Amino acid sequence: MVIKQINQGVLRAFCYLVLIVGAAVMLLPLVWMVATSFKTFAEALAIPPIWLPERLNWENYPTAWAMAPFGRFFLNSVFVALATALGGVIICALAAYAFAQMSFFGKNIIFAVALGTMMIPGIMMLVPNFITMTRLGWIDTYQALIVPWLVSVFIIFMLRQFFMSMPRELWDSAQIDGCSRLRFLWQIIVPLSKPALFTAFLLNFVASWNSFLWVLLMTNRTEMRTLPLGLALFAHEAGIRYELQMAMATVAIVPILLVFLSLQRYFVQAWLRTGIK
Amino acid sequence: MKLARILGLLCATIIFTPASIAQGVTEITIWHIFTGGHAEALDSAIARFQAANPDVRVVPVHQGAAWGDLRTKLLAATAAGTPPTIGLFKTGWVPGAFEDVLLPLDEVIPPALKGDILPTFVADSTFNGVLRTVPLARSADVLFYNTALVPEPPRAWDEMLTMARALNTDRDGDGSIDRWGVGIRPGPEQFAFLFLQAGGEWFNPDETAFLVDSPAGIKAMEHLLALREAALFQTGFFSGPFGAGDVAMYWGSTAGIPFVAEAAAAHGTPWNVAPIPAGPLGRGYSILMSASAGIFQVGTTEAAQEAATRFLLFLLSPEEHLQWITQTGYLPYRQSVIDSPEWQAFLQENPFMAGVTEQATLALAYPHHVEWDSLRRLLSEAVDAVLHGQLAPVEALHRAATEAPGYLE
Repeated sequence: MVIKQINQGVLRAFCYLVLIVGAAVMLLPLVWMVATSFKTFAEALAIPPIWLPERLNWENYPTAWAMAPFGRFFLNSVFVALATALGGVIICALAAYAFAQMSFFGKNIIFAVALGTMMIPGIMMLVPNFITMTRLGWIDTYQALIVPWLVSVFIIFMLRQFFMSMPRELWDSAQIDGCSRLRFLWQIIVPLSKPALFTAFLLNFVASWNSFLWVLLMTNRTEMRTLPLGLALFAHEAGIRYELQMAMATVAIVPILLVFLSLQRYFVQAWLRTGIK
Repeated sequence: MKLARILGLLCATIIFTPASIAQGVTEITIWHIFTGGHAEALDSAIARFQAANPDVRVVPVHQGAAWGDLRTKLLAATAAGTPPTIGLFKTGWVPGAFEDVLLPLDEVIPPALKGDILPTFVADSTFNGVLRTVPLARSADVLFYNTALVPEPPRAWDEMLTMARALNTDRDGDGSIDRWGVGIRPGPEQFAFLFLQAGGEWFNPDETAFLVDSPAGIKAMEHLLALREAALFQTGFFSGPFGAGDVAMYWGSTAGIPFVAEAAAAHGTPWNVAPIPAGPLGRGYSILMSASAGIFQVGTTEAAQEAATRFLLFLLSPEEHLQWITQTGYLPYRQSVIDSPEWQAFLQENPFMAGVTEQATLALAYPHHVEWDSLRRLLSEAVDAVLHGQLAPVEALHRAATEAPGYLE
């Protein structure tokens, strides 16, 4: 009994050690980013690297902010990410529900083909998609930044897995009461699927927030650009102003952190319920 | 009533005149990746051009942090039929993808101007006998050196190697070197200029063989390996450590001069620039890098092409060329500017530009082969394999030479 308790104690301690080391490894880049945002130009490029600046150079933040219209970039990022995340959740939920709970001709083949599109490297679709957006006249518009990303096969797959865990009896009961599919989805499935839906929202939001190449291709005007392109302004072919770039990067991750911290419990629940690990 | 007519006429004039003036303005776009001081230099050049040419509006558009981003955007826009009026191109991009969509410039660049540009720069802008681009933002690796630690820069390979070993110092006595004699950011360009300095030829006469495993290639790679033992190799930029006095010399791009100047000023480090130390042939060659400007003839109007031509000729004028290179640190390439009293006066105040100017005359271009990007990647893999101790120089270069024919067919 005592030996068993000791073994359990050792195992728990080992688990905590692994988790602490893992957490430290994951946090290290963030710590480096924030520390570098307070360094001088020379400290940021020092070899060997300097972890902590000699003093906190707060002026890096207003200096970096003034170098480009970061206020506009920030607003654009928030608007595009929110619209993409919300719109994506709605559209993907509709598709996922159909694949999970409805029966129609060719359902499995259509789903397999949709999954197959995930095999195509995104870089191969850049030029054809650019041509499509150009012909639609959507270059330098918010539609180009939002609409192509409203559908994610991965999100559809994840939500489908979640919806499949719902008992069929729910629909049978609702149908007896005269409930339509859409009403059933909205009033029964959605409230029960908050973890998965919030996770889908989070994934879409982060992907849109971090999007660089697509925004670069779709925009020419400065006022249409987002934060990742703003961060690129600190880089030059022969050098990078790391201290200023890290200052703006620190500002850029604040919304992501806020969204994740507020939704993280749903995130964990969703992964467990969908069986995706 | 008469007053009402006069007022109406006045209002109509006020309302419609701006539109009629705007209709006479040709807008052209230039896509680039300049930031900071380089972007300001371009903006000020544009402002001066527009002041002299009110019928043209030049819109500069920043397209990403890296040349690869700009290339992707140019490719996509060209495929969609919506390219900019002017784009910046690295030499290796033009063959194949962009050559036929760029406006031939032989007819619009006056012979006197063309003759005044350093021959290597003209040759690098010429594709299959046609001038398709003009040099704008050309750079090359040079030797930055700390004049307090290196009173006279090395002028030959062996001299650099000896100085590297002599200057490596353990300042705090902890057993590890904390001030390096030489810093090197390794890549295919470094091997390339050593290869050319050793007298290497890239191809055989009919371009069916990639001759990097020749004696010149092996000599170049062995020198790089010898430096590996004596110098600090890293993938990061050296401007910071150099400015802090932690690296006495390093090979770096002239485009990085503003960063070096800032870092050195922060630490009070005296510095200067010299050409890359010469190889067995006694010539300190470096590779011509960065970009030239080209005008799209597909997807742009004739009026825009004409306006763009005027803008490029403006940038090539002696006054603007002098202004541009003094503000940016890119290579000077007009002989008349290099010989001008204004340039000599500039050198008095900025002695490091003498080294830059000398290197400009010693810059060589990469071959204009449609598969040069792939061949360059083979060189990069060879350099990585040698510097990481995976392959000997002969084996690494032989592997590159053996894999090349697949791209040369």
